[in-house]
Parts: sequence; C-alpha cells; structure tokens
Amino acid sequence: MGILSGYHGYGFCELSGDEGPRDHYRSLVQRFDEFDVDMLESRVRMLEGLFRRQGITFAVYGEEEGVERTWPLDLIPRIIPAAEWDHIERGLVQRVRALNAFLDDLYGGDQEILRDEIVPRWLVESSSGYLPEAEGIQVPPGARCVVSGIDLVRDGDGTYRVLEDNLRVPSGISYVLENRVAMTRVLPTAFSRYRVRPVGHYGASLLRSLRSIAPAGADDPTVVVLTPGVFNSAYFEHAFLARQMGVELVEGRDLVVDDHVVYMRTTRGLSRVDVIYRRVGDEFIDPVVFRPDSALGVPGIMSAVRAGRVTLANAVGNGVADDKGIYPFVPEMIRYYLGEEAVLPNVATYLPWEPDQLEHVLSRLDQLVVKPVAEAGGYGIVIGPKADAATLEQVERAVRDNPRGYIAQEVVQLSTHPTFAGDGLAPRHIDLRPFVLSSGEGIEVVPGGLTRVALREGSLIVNSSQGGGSKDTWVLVG
Amino acid sequence: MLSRHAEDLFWMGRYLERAEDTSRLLDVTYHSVLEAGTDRTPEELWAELLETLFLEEAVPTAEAGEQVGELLIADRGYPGSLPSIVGKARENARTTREWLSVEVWETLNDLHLHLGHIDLASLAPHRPYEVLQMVKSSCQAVHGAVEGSMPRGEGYRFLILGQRLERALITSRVLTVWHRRLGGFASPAAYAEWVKLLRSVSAYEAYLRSHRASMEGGRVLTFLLQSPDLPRSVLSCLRLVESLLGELDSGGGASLQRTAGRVRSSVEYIDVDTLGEQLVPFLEGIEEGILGLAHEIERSYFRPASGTFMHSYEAF
Repeated sequence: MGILSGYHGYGFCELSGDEGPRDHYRSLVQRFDEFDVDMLESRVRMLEGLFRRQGITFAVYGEEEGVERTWPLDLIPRIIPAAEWDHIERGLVQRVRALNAFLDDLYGGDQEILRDEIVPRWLVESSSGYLPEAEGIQVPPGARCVVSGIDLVRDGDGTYRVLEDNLRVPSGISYVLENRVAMTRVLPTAFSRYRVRPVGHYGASLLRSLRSIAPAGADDPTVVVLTPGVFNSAYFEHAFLARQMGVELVEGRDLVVDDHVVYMRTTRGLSRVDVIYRRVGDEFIDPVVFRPDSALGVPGIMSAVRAGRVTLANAVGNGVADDKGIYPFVPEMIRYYLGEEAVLPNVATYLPWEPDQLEHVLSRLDQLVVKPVAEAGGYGIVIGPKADAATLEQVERAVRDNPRGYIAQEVVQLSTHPTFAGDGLAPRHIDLRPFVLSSGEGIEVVPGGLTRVALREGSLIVNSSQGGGSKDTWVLVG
Repeated sequence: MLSRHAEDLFWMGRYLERAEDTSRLLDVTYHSVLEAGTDRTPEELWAELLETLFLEEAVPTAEAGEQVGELLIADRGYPGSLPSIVGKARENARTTREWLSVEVWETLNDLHLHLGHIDLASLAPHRPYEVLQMVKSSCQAVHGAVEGSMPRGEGYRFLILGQRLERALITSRVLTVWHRRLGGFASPAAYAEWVKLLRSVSAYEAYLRSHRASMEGGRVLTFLLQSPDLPRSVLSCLRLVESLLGELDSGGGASLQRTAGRVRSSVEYIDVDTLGEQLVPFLEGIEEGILGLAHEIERSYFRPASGTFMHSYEAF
C-alpha cells in the first residue's frame, strides 16, 4: 500500500471520492506512492530549511518567545481542476463587483441600497467599520476593494461557500508566491506531471492596478507600500510586495502631507507620492481624523485623500462591507446591483439582533459557531460543539448583552486533505483564500490562492495566527 | 531613496564591520593573555579591549578578566556582544530587504540564525576561537556578497559608507588606546605588543612584507594611519568615505564634503615623528573628527526622517 493510495480521509475528502482518487489527484498519488515516511520527512525538512534561510516568517501576537515563526507549508499540494476553478472565479468576480458597488453607493453615492431598504440603515450605521469621515470621498470605479481576500470553504457535499470577505488589508498573497517557488524546488517531479497556472506575475498585476487608480494628472504615478513596521505580523509580506513591484516600502514617519499633497522623505529631499498601497488599518491611518494616539499613520493624509491628490488602496471605510453582520446581505447586494444570483452561496447565518433568531441561536449555542462581527484572523470565534459549558455560558451572556456584536453560523464541516502529520499523512481541514484585484483595469483573480490547513487533528480553525499551516494550491490548465 | 532606508543601510554597514572587528579584537586579546609576550596583566589587556570597543563601562577595570570574553561572545542580552551586534545588523537588513540582494540577505540571515542556534555559553569559555572565526569569516562573506551582487547605487553607497566610517573609527581607536596605555611608542623590544597592535587591524603580515620585521614606533603608526594601500588604514577608509560622499551629493552638500576633507587631510599630511608629546592628543583628535563626521552624515541625510531611532552610540 502506497503512502497516498492507502490514505483515508473523512468528511468531504479532496483527494478521493467513492471510486478512489479523483482524476486530478491520480498523478500525485502515483508520485507519493514512491515515497516512504523517511523520504517525506527529508522533504519536509528541506522545505523548512528553505523558508528559514530566506527569512520567510510571520509574527504571532501575544507570544513572548520568537517574534518570528517560520511559515508552515505542508508538503502535499491542493489541486483544483480547471472547470471547478472557472466556477469559483465567476463567483469571486461577481462578489467583488457587488461589494465595490455597495461601498461606492454608501460613501460616494446616494446610499440607494439603504433607501430601498435592502440593507437596514441602522445595521450599516452601527458597524464599527462604517466611517462617516469617508462619506463623499470619490474613488475611481471599482477601486474601493483593490485587493480582496475572499475566504471559501467546501461543505459536506463539496459545495464551495463564502465564509467571509476580507476587504480591508487581507494578507497571505506573498505566501502563495513563495509556496509555489518552494514547491518547485522540493517536489520537482510531482510538479512536472501537471500543468499548473502560474502565480508569479502578481507583483506586476498589483502594480498595474495601483497605477491605474492614481489621481488625475499623475502621468507617471509613484506607488508606495505603507507598512506599520517591522513588528507587524505581516511585515514580511509588505516588504515582499514592495520588492515584487519595485517600489518603496514606507512607514508613516517617512511620509508628510503638505498642502494636501503626500510626500516621502528621501535622501534628496521630499518626493511626491500618488498611490499608497497601505497595510495600516483605517483607525491608525490618520491621527488627525481617527485614533489620535496612532504613531503608525500620517497626520493629514485624509485631507489629501479627500482633495483627490492621493489614492489609498484599499479605500478607507471598507470595514463596513466585511462586517460579519453585513455578510448575510451580500447575495441581496449581488441581486440589487448586478441583477444576478450569487454563484457562490454563503454559509447559513443567524442574526441575533433579530428577536426571533436570538432565541434560536441561544437555544442551539452548542451546535453553532459564534463569531464577533468586527474581528478578523480567527480571533474570538467560539465553535459550539467543541466549547465547554463555561465558555458557552460566557458566549450566551455576551450575545444577550450585545446582539449586534455577533453572528451565528451552522458548523461547516470543512473538506479534508491529506497533510503531513509527523509520522505520515493524515486528513486535516482546509479552506481557500483566493485574492482578487479590482481597479480601472477590470477584475483579475489570482489562480488558486492561499489554502490554509488546520494542523491540529479535527480543528476547524485554519488561521495562521491560530497555528494553521498552508498548502501550495495548483489550479490546472484546462 | 528613503532617508530611513539610507540610515538602516548605513548602520547595517557599521554593525557588520563592528561584528568583524569585535571578533578580531577578541581573538587578539585571548592570544595576548595566553602568551607571556607582554608585561601587562590580563586585567589590563581585557580592560584595553573594552576601552577600544567603547565599552569601558561594562566591567570595572580592576576586575576585568576572562568574563569579558564570555560577555562579548555569549551574553545575548548585552548590546555590545557578538550575537547582539549581528542581530542589529540583521534587523537593519530586514527593514531594507528590498535594497539587498538575496545573497546578501541570506548570508547575513544564516549567520544570525547560526548564532541563535549554537550553545554560545558553553563554547565561549572553552572554544572561543570557533565562534570568533565563524563570525569573522561570515561577515567577510556578507561583504563579498555585497561586492559581488549589489548594484552601485545609493543603497550600496550608504552601506559601504557606514562600513568604512566604522572601520576608520575602530582603527583610529585601536591606535589611540594602545598608545595612550603604553604612554607613547613602545620599545622596539616589546615585539609582542607590536604584533598585537598590527593584528588588531589585520595588518601584521602586510607590515612584515613592506617593512620586514623592524618594529619602530613611527613606522608602524605611519603604516596604520597613512598607508594608501592598506584597506584598514585610517587614510584608506577616509578617502573612500570622502569619495562616496561626493557621489551621493545633494543631501549633505558642501559642508559635509568640507568636513570629510578636513578630517582626511589632517590624517594624510601629518609627520608622526614630529608629534612627540602631542602624539596621543593628536590621535584623540582624529577619533573625534571621525565621530563628528558620522554625526554630520546623520544630520544631513537621515534627520529629515526623525522620530524614534533605534541606533545610538550610547548603546555600545
């Protein structure tokens, strides 16, 4: 019995159906069957060595030891056949188009969707991501969510569903690119048996998108990446993207605003900046307008944005659209703005602020997943079936005190994928975060995206900040 | 180029040089302490090392001993220790990754990871040479990668500027402290002292080739101070600093050029045999001139990006 042909998954198994390995996994199974555990281990060590040497790391907050951790890439790639990907891509393009339209309607338009009562006004206005300070700011069409990360999961029958939208500063794309380079080095033979769509052009695509949204009059726009700094968990990615685009990586203290124009401080004096791909959150971006204690932002930058002298990507105020309380309304948005049905369905979601749903949620807390609406990165999520009584009591109190602060969802039994687990291959739950670029250049989806894997047995939490790993994701050519 | 990046590269160059120099000076000191070639006590030699590295506050002079070596090799929390200095060089590299070639970054990152990995505390007392040699040759490998793979743009220039300024400073400091402690030129008979001085700046064999084994105060000092060919002579370093500043132009302007030229010419045109009693004050003046130049470079190129600076000389 080979190492993969003897493998058994559970739930929706990505590798095999009732009749053995799925077509697109057959070559991989054959290749891995030539391996034994020692050979697997040596490849795993090689991967770790590659990443450590290159300094491909991320930081985990709230952990004292080791500010940086090596990026965990699993050895077994995830494979998506062309037809499946076409479906995903259609759904993502549609969804990002609608979300951009929604944000433009809210901040740059007449809030028609609120007037027509498709989305409740109070819900929008009570969202912590909704920023009245951004009302009236005009952004080029389709350029509010320039970079989106849409998290997808597969349920028990293999249907791809949207779990959440990340429209503020989604991260992970650098790992998609680095994973790919590493896999071609560590598993060249397996790789050569497939025709995999490339991802390496992301830097060029991102730069093209960013340059296309420069303020009018900037003929040869200067783009920079704004990072909170070296202690941010995604700093590696910020530096990586600046390098891939060949642009400056700046911190707030490198920028100044003078007469509504943004400049960076260089060894040759001040130099004008037109487009800022910012990886600093809204609340920190401008201490004059938002949090006055922020040392990460640039005083006065919002005045330059409002004056149309600089473009921020993503736009300020996007948090309202990825608020988990707004999420259930996205299919409605797609219908409202595009006149289409959603290609990718949501996960069944309950809204505790609706009185009839509150009791339903509270009576089924031990069966549902409860999420705080404004958090990202897997922080604050409680999975009912895995929680102890004390936690459930706490959640009940929290939801009763602040029903607007939470949503509840049916537990999705994420699909499983063979994953290296120390002494062989074992099934682990995975999700998928594809990245979508939207700008004056149209919408482009990076083939694949970041497949995240819950490394602990049975765990449904895949976030890297919560001990998740990743897989290289191969989208096959037709 | 961003002022902050220029500053980080400048300091990366300085820290790299400092790591290499600290390793070499430690090696020289261990050797002098073991070999009975000098009248000076081990305490005196360890204290001299600390003073040369601007670390005299670290350990009271009278108590200086082997623990100085262990402090500088193995104490990860001490800012003047090898792992700390390499860590700072690597931290500066990390914030300027987009300016560095993959080779430079990986060589430096390897050194940092390796130092983090090995048991410095047990190596330091028994096999210090292994650590010192490893750090020294790794720093040289980083410089090799810099030379072989970085385009000659602003980034390269700021890095080399930092490196050569630090090197000029350390060579002049070695000269100042050695002459001050020995009260002027040592006697030609104190051969081991001369070897120690020359080896402190990797110049022993070079000196033998050009002057044979004749150790005379004026000759050695002239060699280390003014040789245009010796890569660690104060003059060689300052000449390069001056020409780099010329290439970088703008920011600094004429005043910075003038300062650099003044310090360089004060080194270039002195006849050391005429100094007599003024020898040590003269050397101290050179050292001050170099430190002043470093501060002026910071003011001219980096201060526009003021805010919180990670670097300060007080840290050493």
